[in-house]
Amino acid sequence: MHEMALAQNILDIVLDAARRHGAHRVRRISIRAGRLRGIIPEQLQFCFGFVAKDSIAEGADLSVVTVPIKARCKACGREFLVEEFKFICPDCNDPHVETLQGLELLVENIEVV
Amino acid sequence: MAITIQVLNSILEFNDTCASENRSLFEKNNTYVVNLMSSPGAGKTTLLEKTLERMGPEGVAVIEGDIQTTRDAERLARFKIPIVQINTGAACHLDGQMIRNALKELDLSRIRLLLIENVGNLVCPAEFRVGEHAKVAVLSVTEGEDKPLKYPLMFRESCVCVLNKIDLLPHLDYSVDEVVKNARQINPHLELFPVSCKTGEGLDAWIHWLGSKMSHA
Repeated sequence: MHEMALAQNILDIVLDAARRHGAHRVRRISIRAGRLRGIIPEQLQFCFGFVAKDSIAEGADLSVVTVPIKARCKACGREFLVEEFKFICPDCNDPHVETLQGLELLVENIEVV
Repeated sequence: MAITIQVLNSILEFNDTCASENRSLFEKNNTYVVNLMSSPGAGKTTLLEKTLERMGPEGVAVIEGDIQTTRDAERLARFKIPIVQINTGAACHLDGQMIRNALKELDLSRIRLLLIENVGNLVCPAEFRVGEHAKVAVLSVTEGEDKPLKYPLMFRESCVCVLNKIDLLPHLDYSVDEVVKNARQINPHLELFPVSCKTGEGLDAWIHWLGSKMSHA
C-alpha cells in the first residue's frame, strides 16, 4: 500500500541522481523491495507514472526486485528463508530469530541517457 | 548511449531522518513516545480515554491522526492535556515529517508521555517510523484470530498488542489462545494485554506496562 508516497520519494531520489550526473532522460529504475514491505510492483509503476509526468523520468520503466525474507536463529545460528511469515527456526523450532533481509526499500540504480 | 548509475538510496530515507530527529528531541526531553495503531474502530481513542482516566493527565500529551475530523481530539479535550490533531486529508498513515510539524505545537520539556494515535489502518502505519519508542497495536476480538498472520509487518514491528473488547467474548466464537499463538508466530516478543475498555477488565496490566516504560525512558 501507500505506493503513491513511495513513488514520490523515488522520483525525488531519481531526479537528484540524474541531475548530478547531467542526464537528459531516465529510462529505467531498479528498485529492491523486501517482502515484508508489501509493495505491489504494478501499483508502484502506476503511481510512479503519475508522479513522473512532465519530468525527465516520465515513461521510465520501474523494475522491482522483491527480496525474500531471510532470518537467523538466535539459538542455533541457522539462517533460513522465512516462508509464510513463520519466524520460527526450521531446525530447532526456536522463535527468537533476527531478520537479516526482507525490510529493504531502495533505489538501486537508474539507467539514463 | 545508456549508462547505469548506482544510486543505493533508501526510499524511506527522508522519513527515517525525520523520525531520528524526532527521536533525538524525545530523548533530550525525557519524553516516552508510543505510536498507537489499529484498524478503524478497534478502540484506540477509547483506550486513550481509559488510560488518561487511570493515569491522570499530568505530563501526558496526545497527537491525533485522522484523515478527516477533529472528533478524536474533541473526545479527549475534557482531560485538558496538550493535544495536536493532524488531518492528513488523504494520507493513510502518519509519517515522520507530520509528527515533526506537530511537535512545534508541544512543549516537550513538560511532557513525560506522548501518545500518538495513528490513522485507523492495519497496513501503512507500521511502515513509517515517526521516532516513537514503542509501536502498540490495538486489535479487537471482533476482528478474527488470523489478523496477525494477515498483517505481519504491523505485528512484527509492535512490541505490545492490546486485545480489546473481551467483554464481547461470550457472544463470539473466538479463541484468545489462537490469536496469541498467531501473534507469537509473527513476533515471539509481542506482549499481549487482553482488555475491555468498556468494563475496565485487564487495563491495569496495560497501565502498569506504560508506567514501567516511562520510568525507564
